[in-house]
Amino acid sequence: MDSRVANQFIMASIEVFRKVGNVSLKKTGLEYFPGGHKISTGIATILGVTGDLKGQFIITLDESISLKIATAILMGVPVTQYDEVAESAVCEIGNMIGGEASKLLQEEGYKCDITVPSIVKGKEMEIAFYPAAPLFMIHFSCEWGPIDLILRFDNKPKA
Amino acid sequence: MSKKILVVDDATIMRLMLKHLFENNEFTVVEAVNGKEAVELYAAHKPDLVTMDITMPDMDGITAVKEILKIDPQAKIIMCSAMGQVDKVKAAVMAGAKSFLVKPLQPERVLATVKQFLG
Repeated sequence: MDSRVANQFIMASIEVFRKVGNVSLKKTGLEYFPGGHKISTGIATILGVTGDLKGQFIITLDESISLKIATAILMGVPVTQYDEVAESAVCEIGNMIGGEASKLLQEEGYKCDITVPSIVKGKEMEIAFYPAAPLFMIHFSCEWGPIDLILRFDNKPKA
Repeated sequence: MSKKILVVDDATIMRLMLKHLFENNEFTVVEAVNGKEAVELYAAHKPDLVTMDITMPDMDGITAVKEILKIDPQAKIIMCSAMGQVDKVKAAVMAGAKSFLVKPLQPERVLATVKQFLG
């Protein structure tokens, strides 16, 4: 995967969390799994990317962060339990990151669209990709806790 | 009488956010969860303004803008979408949207834009 592609998603994630909750995402690590990898997570929102790039990006976080995102979007109205509103907030943050990344990617010459997000939640749940494909996992920390961004694209770097 | 705004978004959190924002500023709110419902509710309620998402099931926001403008060529529609790429903005403006706000929405910006069109 072209590092410029990964960078646009990283920058988009940082920008969206800053705008939504005035929180600062700090990159704490990056892992590369050339043969794919199973992801263990609490809550994950999965979005597809189509067009010049084909693949998926996934945001994983825990329940407490989903409540903080929902509260922030609702301008301080507290969301205290994981329900339809919190779930919708996690999907929406995925949409916003996808939208911002698409805009940045278009400036890099990639024209892509983002599919409707889906969400999965469970304890000790694993997400696997078939067929296995190289996968980047970017770890962030912020005032709300840890957040991971997973990128999996089929494309070779654009010339 | 308070002005009526039709909020169209498939995301519960966004409808809730805009509903809170508008009701706290003396507007009346009607909600639709997709473009198809938006067209039906526009015909039934004749709102003063519409906020419209783009990516939605059943009927997307761009198609809904075109359909609403067939009912009321003077309809005031503001797009509110996470997809702020140039081609999406162009498509929305060409369809007849008055303005385009990119999510994450900034409440002050949303209100300022709405008031610009509602006087």
